[in-house]
Amino acid sequence: MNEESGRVVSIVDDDASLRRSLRNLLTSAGLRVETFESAEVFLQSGSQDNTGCLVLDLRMPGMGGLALLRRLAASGSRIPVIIVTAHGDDDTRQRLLEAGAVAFLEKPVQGAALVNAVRSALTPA
Amino acid sequence: MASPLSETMHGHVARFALVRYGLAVLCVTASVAVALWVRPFVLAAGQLSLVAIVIVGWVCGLRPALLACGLATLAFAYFFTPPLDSLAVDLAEAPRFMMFAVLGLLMATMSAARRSAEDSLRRAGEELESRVRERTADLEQSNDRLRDREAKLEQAQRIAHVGYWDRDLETDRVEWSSETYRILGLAPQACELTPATLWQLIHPEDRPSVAAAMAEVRAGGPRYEAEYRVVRPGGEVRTVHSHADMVNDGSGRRRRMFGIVHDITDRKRAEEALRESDEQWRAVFENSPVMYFMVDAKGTILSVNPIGADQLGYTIAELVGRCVLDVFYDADRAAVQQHVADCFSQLGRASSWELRKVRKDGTLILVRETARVMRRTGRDPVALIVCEDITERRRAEEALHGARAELAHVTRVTTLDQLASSIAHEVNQPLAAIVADANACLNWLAVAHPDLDQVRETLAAIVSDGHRAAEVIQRIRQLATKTEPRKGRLDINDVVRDVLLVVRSELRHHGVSLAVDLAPALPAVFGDRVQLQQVILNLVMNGIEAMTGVGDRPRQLTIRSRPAESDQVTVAVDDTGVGIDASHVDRLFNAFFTTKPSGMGMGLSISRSIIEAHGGRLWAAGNTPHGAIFHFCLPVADTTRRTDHPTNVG
Repeated sequence: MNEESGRVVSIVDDDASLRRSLRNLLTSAGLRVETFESAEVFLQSGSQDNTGCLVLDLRMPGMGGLALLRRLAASGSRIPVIIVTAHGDDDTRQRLLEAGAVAFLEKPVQGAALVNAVRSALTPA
Repeated sequence: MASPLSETMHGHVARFALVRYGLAVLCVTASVAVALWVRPFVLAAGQLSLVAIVIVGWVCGLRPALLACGLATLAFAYFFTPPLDSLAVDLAEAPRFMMFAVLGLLMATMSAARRSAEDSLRRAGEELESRVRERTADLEQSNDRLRDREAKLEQAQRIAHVGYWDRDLETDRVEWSSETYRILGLAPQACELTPATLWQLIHPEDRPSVAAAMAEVRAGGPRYEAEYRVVRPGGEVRTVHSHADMVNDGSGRRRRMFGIVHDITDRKRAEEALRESDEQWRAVFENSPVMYFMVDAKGTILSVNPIGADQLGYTIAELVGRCVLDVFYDADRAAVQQHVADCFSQLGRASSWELRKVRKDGTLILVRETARVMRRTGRDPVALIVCEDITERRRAEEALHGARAELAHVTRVTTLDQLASSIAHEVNQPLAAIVADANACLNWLAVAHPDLDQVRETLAAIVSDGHRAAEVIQRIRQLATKTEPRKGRLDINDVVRDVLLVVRSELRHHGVSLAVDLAPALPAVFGDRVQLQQVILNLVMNGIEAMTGVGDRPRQLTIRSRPAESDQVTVAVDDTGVGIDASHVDRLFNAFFTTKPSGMGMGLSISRSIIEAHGGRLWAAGNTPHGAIFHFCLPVADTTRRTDHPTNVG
C-alpha cells in the first residue's frame, strides 16, 4: 500500500545491518526510507525538511541519540522521533519522552510495532 | 846397634871398594910404621897390627881385613919375628908367629863379622823402616778412604733423616750415629746417650708399645720394629720409625742389635694431609645432595653415591654393574642412550637433559642430568653424571602455571562480566536485524506478485547476521573458557578483530569512536589466541575506562598494528583519555595496582606476563595531546617449533 509519498522516513543508526534491515522492513511496508550512519551525517545532509519521521538509535559514537533529539528540539524542528534501542530502562524512557520522542521501542523490534509507530507518526496530528 | 857416627862412615866407605882396600893397606902400614918406631923398646909392638886389622875389619869389611891380616902377618914375620927384617921365622918363634897369624885372622873375621852383623842390622832396620813407611802410606790412604766413606755415610744419614744405633745386649751400652742425635734433638755426640735417656725422650703415650716391641724381639722375635713419637728437648714432637736386626756372635747367641731410626714426621704429615683431602672429597661424593653416577661407554654403572642410590630406592650394590638404561623410564631410554653416546663422542664437553627415571618401587621421577666424559690415563674414559631430582620443582612450576592460568581466566571472566551488557547488545544487534529483515520478507511475500529477488537477498542477509551473532558468542565462549594454552601460528590482526567483535558495543555504549589501522601483510606470530585476545581486550577496556568523564574532546580509541625492526610485530592501543599519572608510571604493571574504584588491579600485570611469556614486551607511554598509548611487540614466528618438556609426571 502506498501512503503519503513525499514523506521520507529517516533512519539514523551506526550499525549497517540494522540500517539495512530496518530499511527492508519499512520499505516492505510501503514506506520511503533514507538511512544515515550518524547524527552528524543526518544533520549535514539537509534531509530534515523532507523527513516525515525520524527513527533513531540511542547509543551512537559521536553525537548520541539524546543529543540529536535536543538539538532538533532547540532548532524548533517538529519531526516526530521514534527511538529504537537495546537499552531500555524506565528512566531513559522517561527522559526521552520528555525530550520530545513520540515512541520508544526496544530491540529487537517487533516489525508490526515499528511500522505502526512510523505510520502514526507520519499521520499529521 | 851401630852408632850414628859409624853409620855415616859406613855409608861413605862402603861405596868405594878401592878405598876400602887402600884403607886396609894404609892402616897396616901405619901400624907397622908405629910398631917399627917403637920396636927397639918393645918387640911386642908388632902386635899393634892387630889393632889395625880390627879397625880395618870394622870399617872396611871382611876382605880388606883379610888383606890387612895377610899384610900384617907378613910385616910381623918380617919386622917383628926373629930373625928380624927377614921373612924367615925361627922355629922357636913359630908359635908366637902362628898365634899372631891366628889372632890376626880371628880379629879380622870377628871384626868383619861384627861389621856385617851391623850391616845386616842396619839393612834390616832400613828395610823395616821402608816397609813401615809403605804400610803407613797405605794406612793413610785407607784412612782417607774410610774418612771419605764415613763422611758420605754421615751425609746420607742426614739427608734421609736416618741415624743408626748399635746396642750391645750384654752390657746394654749403645752407640748412636750423629744423625740419631740430631733426630732426637740433641747436639751430635754431645752427651752420653743411654737407653734410659732415650726412654725419657719417647712420648709417654708411645712408651708401652716401644717396650712391647723390645720385649718381643728379646724373647726371640725376628726383628725389632717400632713407630713412636719423640719429644725433643725443645718441645717439638717428631715421629720416628725404628728398625733393628739381631746380630749373632759366632756361637749363635744374640749379642747385639743394629738398627736405624728414621724421622718420618714429614711423611706422616703428608700422609695425614692426603688422608684429610681424600676424606673431604669422599665426604663430598657421599653427602652432596645431588646424585653422582660414573658410567662407562657401554652404559654400565661404575659407581654411584649414597644419595644417588637412595633417590632411586636401591642400594649402591644393586646399582653398580647394571646398565644405566635400566633405571630410566621405557619411553626415555632411547633418548638417554643417544645423549650418553653424544657425550662420549665429544670428550670434555658437558651436556644436559631432562628425562624420567623409574624408582625401585615403580614410581617415576623427573631428573635433570648434566654429564661430561673424562679422559683417564691408561684407562677407558668414563662419563661423570650429576643428576638432580626436579620432580617437585616441575610440579611446583606446573602448579604455578596452573594458578596463573586460573588467575588469567578469572580476570577474563571478570572482564566479560563487565562487558555483559554490551555483549548482550552485541548479540542483540544481529538478532534485531534478523527480525526486521524477516518481517520485511513476510510483508513482501504477502503481496500478489512478490519481488522474489529482493526476498532472496534479504534472506541471505539474515543468514549472514545469524553467523555474525554466532561468532560473537563463540568469541565470548573462547574468552570464558579455561583450557590449557595452546600455541599456534596466528595473524595478530585476526586476534584484534576477534576482540573488536566483542567489544564494539561497549565502545558505542561509552560513546567512543574506534579507528582501526591494521597493517595488511603482517608476519605471523606464535602464540595462544585466547591469551592474546585477553591482552588486547584488557588494553581496549582500559582505554575506554580512561575516557569516561572526558567531555571536552572526542573520545577516540585507535588500534594499530605494524611490523617492526627485523622480526617483531607491534600493536598499539591509544586513547584520548586522562593519560598516565607521572607518579604511577613505575607501578602501572604491578599486580594489584589500580586506579579504578572497583578494579582488582590484575589486568596489566597479567597482560605483561602473557606478552613476556610470548617473548615480547609491553609498555606504556603518554599520547599527545591527551591520553595514553600502550604498545606491545611480539617476535615473529620462526619456522621451527620449540619442543615441549614431558609433562605427565606423577
